[in-house]
Amino acid sequence: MSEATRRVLVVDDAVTVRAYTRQVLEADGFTVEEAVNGIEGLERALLDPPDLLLVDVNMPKMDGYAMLRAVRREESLRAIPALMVSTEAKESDRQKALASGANWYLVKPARPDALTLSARLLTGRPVAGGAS
Amino acid sequence: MSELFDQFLVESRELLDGIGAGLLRLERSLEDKAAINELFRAFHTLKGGTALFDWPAFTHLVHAAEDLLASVRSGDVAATADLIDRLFAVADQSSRWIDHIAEHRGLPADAGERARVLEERLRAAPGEAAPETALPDAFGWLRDLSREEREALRAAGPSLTAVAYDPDPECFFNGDDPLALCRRIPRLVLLRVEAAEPLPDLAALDPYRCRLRFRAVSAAPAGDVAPVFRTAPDQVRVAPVPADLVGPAPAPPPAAPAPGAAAMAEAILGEQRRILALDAAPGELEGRFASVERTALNVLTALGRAAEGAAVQAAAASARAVGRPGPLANHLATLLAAVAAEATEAKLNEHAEPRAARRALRVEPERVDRLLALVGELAVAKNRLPPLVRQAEGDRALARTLREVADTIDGLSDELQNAVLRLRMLPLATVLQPLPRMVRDLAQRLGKRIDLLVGGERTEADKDVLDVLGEPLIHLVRNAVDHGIEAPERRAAAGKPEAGTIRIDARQDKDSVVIEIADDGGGIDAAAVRRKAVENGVIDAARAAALSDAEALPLILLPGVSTARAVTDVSGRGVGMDAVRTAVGLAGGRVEIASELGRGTRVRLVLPLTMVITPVMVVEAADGLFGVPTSAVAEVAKVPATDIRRVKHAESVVLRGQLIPVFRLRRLLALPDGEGGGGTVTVLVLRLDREPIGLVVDGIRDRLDAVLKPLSGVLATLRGYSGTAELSDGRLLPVINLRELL
Repeated sequence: MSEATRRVLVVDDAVTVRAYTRQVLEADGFTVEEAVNGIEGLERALLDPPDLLLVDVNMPKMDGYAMLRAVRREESLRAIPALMVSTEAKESDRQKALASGANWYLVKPARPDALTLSARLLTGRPVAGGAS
Repeated sequence: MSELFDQFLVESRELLDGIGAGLLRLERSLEDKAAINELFRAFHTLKGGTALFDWPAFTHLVHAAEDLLASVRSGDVAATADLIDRLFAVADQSSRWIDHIAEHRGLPADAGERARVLEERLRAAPGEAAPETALPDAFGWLRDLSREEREALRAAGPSLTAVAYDPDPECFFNGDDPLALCRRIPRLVLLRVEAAEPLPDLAALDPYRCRLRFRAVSAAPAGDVAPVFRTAPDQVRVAPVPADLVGPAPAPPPAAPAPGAAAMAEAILGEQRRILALDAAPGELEGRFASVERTALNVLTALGRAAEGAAVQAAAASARAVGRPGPLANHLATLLAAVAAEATEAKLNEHAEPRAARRALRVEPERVDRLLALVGELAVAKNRLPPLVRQAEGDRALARTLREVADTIDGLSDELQNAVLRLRMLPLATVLQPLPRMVRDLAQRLGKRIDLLVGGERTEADKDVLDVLGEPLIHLVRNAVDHGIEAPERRAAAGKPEAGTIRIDARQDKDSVVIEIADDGGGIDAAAVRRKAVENGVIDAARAAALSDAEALPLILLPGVSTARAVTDVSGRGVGMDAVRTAVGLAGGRVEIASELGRGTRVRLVLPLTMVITPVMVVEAADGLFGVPTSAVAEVAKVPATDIRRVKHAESVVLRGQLIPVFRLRRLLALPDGEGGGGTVTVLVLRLDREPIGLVVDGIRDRLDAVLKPLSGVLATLRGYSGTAELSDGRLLPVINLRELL
């Protein structure tokens, strides 16, 4: 079970961020899906729940906070670990992310190793060594 | 060499302090994994240090301790009180050797023998399964060389040296780089890197352990090869290659480490705990439990600790059952502690260098003292400015500018002085550190059970004060263990818990540092103190009877008064309290004592923060100015001259109903008597020990923070003065040593 491919849903309105994240995660063996705002993210997640939600804060239509609050209220999604990515490094922003449903928080731009390590830990893929 | 040597001494002593503390922690909780890890690392680092020099006995002994801890760590050997004793013995021996090395630059002659005895004790530890370090057949591989390899060796020359290097699995923590070491082998012909043991699953692989071994052949003689491995002599075998050799074996590649994984795992688990602590709107709690549970499970799986997941699920289930995060949050806390231990280890590995760099700057005390002396001279030079200001008064603009400059220099000079004094401040931890070990050993010897609680280790005081403090503190704590805390049976009979408690607490109180040593032992029998004081002629029976219990207790501080009935080899006959009082008094401090029979004793040491600066009160006597240490002055009273009564040769005054003996400063200093005129006289009420004493002076000027300079030259023989201080007008102020004078 440990090496089944993990699916990450990247929710961000910026195309470069999505491309960068996809590149980094795919290189580490993750499968990446994309959504451009909270509503679309929620729809895609409901359709086929991923192993990890990687969510931006500021997005049109529905922001990351609102999306995560919705995810946590939805029976079929509530257990999925969520990683929130934001340009804000302030403690208050981090706390707000955690309060709305994120399990982990990275400041943008996240370094590739921090991104893959976080994704591995949050999806239960081995981190102790190997397969880079 | 010398610098390296000095560093070794400093580091080794720090390590041994850490080992002592670690063993005590382990003793309290035999399962303390963090303590085991720390001990292992400390012994390991110590071994590395000794290996830099040529002290094989030392290296072997420490190595044996390290091996034993490795077995404890892997669970092959259980930590027991007995095992801890054995490790203490190794630590003690090491400390003695370090002292010996510091003095003689080498180990004592009997070191080999001592090491052997202690190593045997270590190996005899119950459940012994210490990994054997000897290689079964270190050079068998030479018979398995490939044809190409054999060709290469033949081409390299007739006399070859073989190296079998089996790095310690923990060698990365020691800053070793095995591959780099091998590369340093001169005239390297062949290098093989092999897995020392079958590699486990990637999920179970610990990248911080070195699982490799190195096999090499050099065309240089053994004598040139061996020095390369000076830092790892116990992990390497060097031998000439015999003329006949043969066949191959490929080595699997090493696994890539994932730095920071443990640290990030720890951080993520920490956040899950925090999430649970945040306020949740109704309906959000379920989602939180679910995502925190899944996240924690995944992190554990990622770390290869999936087996611990069941406990997380159970904790989450009970959180759901009670509808509160408590059970899950508590379990996460436990989990965090376990993961944190690994994260620390990983960090040490990643940042071996910065750790050393963070260490405090070490400065020779003499340099600080030199700086302080210069600051003192600056203060004196500064004092020449005010007269200039007065001289310039004719020119108002100039006078104003001069005054401003003088004020600025004044302020800077004060700040500079404070900054330098701060440099001399050290945390009390340095004197408190030996106490836990001492209490443990003494209690064991006396068959008592004692919990020692130490607080305020970070309180700082001047190093001179700390130097003075060490001995009295040890004495007081010994007293508490020996005479204070009762034997377990007696405590039980008195309805107290069998284990006694000694509490040491240090804190800063304005310009003083206050250290309290309190025990919940039998207390001091005030009646016995009175009796003893009378027996030994310290006071007469009538006065003794008049003293309240609280007043009688301080008598124990006087020479020859002690109530300890059992004479043990621990604290002798109570000559100690007198020594404590004297030592503390010399530092300008005082001892207070309170006790309740059956309930315990509390001794309080009050010392000035620094002995460099003495706050003094400037007083007048016969047209001269003298300094009196402010710390001794309890109050200043103006009394009508007629209130001072003479009885025979002694004078006294009644202040607030209390009879106080009075001395006149003029007479004490053999100055001409005053005319005695005027209606009132000024009396300083001094509190040196227990009873107040009055000192009559002509008048009081101001207070002054004085940097005391001892009297030198012919003046050094003068009694009654502790030194001189400089007044702002450049005059010298003799400061009186009240104890000598009275």
